[in-house]
Amino acid sequence: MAAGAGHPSERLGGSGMGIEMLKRTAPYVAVLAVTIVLFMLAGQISYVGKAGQIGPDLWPKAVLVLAMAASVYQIVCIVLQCWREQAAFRASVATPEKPYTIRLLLGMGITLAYVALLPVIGFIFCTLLYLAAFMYIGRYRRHRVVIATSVIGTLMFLLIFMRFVYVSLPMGSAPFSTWSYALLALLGAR
Amino acid sequence: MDILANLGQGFLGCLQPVNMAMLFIGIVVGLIVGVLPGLTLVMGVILALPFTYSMDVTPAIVLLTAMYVSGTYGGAPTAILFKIPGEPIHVPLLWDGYAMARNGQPALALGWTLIAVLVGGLLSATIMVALSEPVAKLALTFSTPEYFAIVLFGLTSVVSLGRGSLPNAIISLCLGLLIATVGVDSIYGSTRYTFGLPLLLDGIEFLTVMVGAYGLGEVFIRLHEGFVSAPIQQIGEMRTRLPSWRELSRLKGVLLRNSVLGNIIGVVPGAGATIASFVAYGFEGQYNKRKKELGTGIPDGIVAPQAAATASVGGALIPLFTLGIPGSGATAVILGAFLLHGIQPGPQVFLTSTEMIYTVIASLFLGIVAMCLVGFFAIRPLVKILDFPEAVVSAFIMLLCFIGALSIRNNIGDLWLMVAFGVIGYLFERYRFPIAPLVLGTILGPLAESSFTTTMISFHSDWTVFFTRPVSGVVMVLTLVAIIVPIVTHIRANNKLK
Repeated sequence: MAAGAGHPSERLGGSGMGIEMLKRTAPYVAVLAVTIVLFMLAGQISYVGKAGQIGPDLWPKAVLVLAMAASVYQIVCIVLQCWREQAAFRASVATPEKPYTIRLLLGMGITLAYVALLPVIGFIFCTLLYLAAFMYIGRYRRHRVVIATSVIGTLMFLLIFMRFVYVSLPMGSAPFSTWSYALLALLGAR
Repeated sequence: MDILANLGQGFLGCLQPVNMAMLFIGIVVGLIVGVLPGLTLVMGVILALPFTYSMDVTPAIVLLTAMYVSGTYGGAPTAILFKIPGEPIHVPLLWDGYAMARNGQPALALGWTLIAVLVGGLLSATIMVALSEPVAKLALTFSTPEYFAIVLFGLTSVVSLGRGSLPNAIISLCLGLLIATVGVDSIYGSTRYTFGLPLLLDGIEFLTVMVGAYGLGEVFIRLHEGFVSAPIQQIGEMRTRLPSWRELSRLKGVLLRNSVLGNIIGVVPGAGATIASFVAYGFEGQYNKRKKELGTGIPDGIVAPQAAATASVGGALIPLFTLGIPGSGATAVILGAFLLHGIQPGPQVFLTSTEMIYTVIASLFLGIVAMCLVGFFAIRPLVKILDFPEAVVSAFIMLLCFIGALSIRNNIGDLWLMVAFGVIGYLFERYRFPIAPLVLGTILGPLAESSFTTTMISFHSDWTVFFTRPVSGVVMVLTLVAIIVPIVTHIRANNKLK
């Protein structure tokens, strides 16, 4: 039999199967861990109430118990399924990884950077850079379109929200704020 | 008679230029949102929300409602012509719609879709008019046990009606309910899960969760896929042909039963147009005379899911207007718009804001007719929207998400929360946890908890009160059915696998 063509458990071996099982149970283990921590924190909620009366901790505790039960059920099911029938791994083995993980991480990274830089360099410059960067990360390569849509889009949104919808967009701190306000005055939005 | 007089007033209100303008804009934007594969109906309504801040409440709600209605049709042409469902709603539609187009009748397939939208939409709007005020009057007699029972029913329905793993749906719902507990408790004034952060003292806005989980989460998923869209085929005939009266009369039963079914599904809190569309197709698969031909391109398979999807809109608006409980993701955003304008939907709103409510209801009638006209005449430009590069569209979706989250409280902290929920939304999608229960849990959580706690305090911790009062008793029995049926189905399915 050619390599990789046999039963999934044969292909993976014991440790491979263990890793696969860990991968599949990981989200539920994470949920279980978080709910346990939150359950302990719920016990520390302080309140003043009559004896025998339910407190503000009861509702979150009930919800957490339900989440824990669902997580434990899923973990047990996955483990039992893996022991009972190793073919259960077939689907997860056959599922290819999505191909653009680096782009996703870059996208998340610039999104975090946008939020971090927004109060510093202001909406105009931050948005301009973000839009262009996001389009490039999204594999769009028509440079003129990227630049034009970023500039026009930023100014259009600025005008709509500052002038007509009255949402106060951050202008940043000096010297960016000076430039932002100058641009706003130029656009007649101030 | 009062209802008809109020509706007449509503039509007059709707004909005011600003309301008509918002209606038209809502329809066009809703259609565009429906066409674009990366943009869902709920996301579209969320992204439109910041634009409504400076408006009066009536045009704001008219705009969002029009978007909601037309979003249920927008993705239909692309599903039929190119097998690209702009929305999950249109997945059942393409099974027969695309097949009919491949059989050489794309124009007729589009015509059937428009008929389904027209009949389903108008019928559901009529049912809504007939039921809203009586339900609101009944709701005025409700106390906290009834409210808790109804909310609990909504929460269990969203878990049981959703497709996929039941435990995953429960975990998602619990997370939503927990998010709703963050901040200062409304009954005891205790702080919960604030971790010493002043931002969390006011709690987490459900709109922040929605914008993050639906908006950012979806864009992250598409980015991970590299914004790869299906290639678009060249279509020679791109027009709509309406069916003849004879063809229409043969399908009147399918149209009517699925419109009513869609309306009923819409009323159930948490079950929206997508569930209505799938259930309607499944229903026809069980009971239609031509059930064996379903999937081969028969009009029954087009009419059923589309009529049910559009009819669910009117149904979903009934619990929103009469009880203040959203029936779907989009109505949750509309609830947010009401709250942002200082209006709490519920039975009182029919007494205090009669004109506004009936103007919105009238806009639903006008919107459905106008949407059919736009859909009939603008099919070619509508389909052209698919040519927009997804990376550019997604960049602007992200920008609208930022502005949307920022404008809720004008706090940068909300942006951090939104990004966190965006990542959670992505992880949910990746690990097959449904997002709808998370969002519904966040929205309905405070109402569920406060009505439960108040009942327990008022009735000295006697939990049987939920079962001994007539209305809450009936709803609690329905809730138990909604809990038990999926569990039994889940266990049976597992046993079959073994």
